[in-house]
Amino acid sequence: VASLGRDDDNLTNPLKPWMSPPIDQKACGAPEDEAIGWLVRVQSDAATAQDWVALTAWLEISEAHAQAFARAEQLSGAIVDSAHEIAAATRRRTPDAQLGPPAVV
Amino acid sequence: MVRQAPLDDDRNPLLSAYLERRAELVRYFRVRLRSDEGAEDLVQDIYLKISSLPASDIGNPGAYLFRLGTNLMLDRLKVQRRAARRDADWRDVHFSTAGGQDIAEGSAADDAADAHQRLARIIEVVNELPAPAREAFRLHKLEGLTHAETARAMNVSRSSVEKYMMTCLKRILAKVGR
Repeated sequence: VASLGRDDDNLTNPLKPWMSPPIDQKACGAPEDEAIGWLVRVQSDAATAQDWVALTAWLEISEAHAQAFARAEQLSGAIVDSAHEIAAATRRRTPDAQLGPPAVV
Repeated sequence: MVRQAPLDDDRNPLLSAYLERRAELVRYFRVRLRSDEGAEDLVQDIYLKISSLPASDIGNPGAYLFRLGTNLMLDRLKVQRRAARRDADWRDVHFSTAGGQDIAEGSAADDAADAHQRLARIIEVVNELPAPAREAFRLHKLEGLTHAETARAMNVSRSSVEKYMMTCLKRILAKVGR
């Protein structure tokens, strides 16, 4: 019988598992960190319209949430806009150490 | 006036997703733009955009509409921000030096200095990232791969990629600040 009540639950209890902030639960508390979690979630190719609806609800909670999200989004956009410069300046730093120590025989 | 009907939504998944999601789109862009009117305008622009696209199979049309609207919104904000800065510079120059030629130069120089400093900080943080996080950042943000493609290229799970991206963005945001 409880399972038949699911539709009613959808109406009365909007808090679904997919509505909780994603991934990093340690992020709870700081709007900046939560905002980054939401941004990464909606920028994923796995994102659904449900994710965006859940984000909407989070943004509506407070002005601090809305501002933190806008800032994270703007930063992400600035990174993409400068992708070429960032790539050029960081490419040469790829450490050789990742490849293991040089073979000294 | 834009004619919204008849929509051939049987053959165009984007148009049918638009009809289904219209209210959700308006609600999202209302909280983003802090304006009912701005949200309605933007969602109308989403409609105009998708009506001009050839019908195609898009993986997740609902999410695509939110992303499309976000791009339209950010483009619009960039234009507004530039115009606001131009106005502010114009007032500064007009009242201080009244030198007509300095207007554009002053504005461009300020923009360039800000952008240059921000870029330098971003590069600094990226160079200090742990190797896997930096690789995820490079593939997704710089090369433009999706999270799934990045995960495949690195042979890790998509949720790992998403954790790496959160690490990267948190560190960059902390450094770039403001």
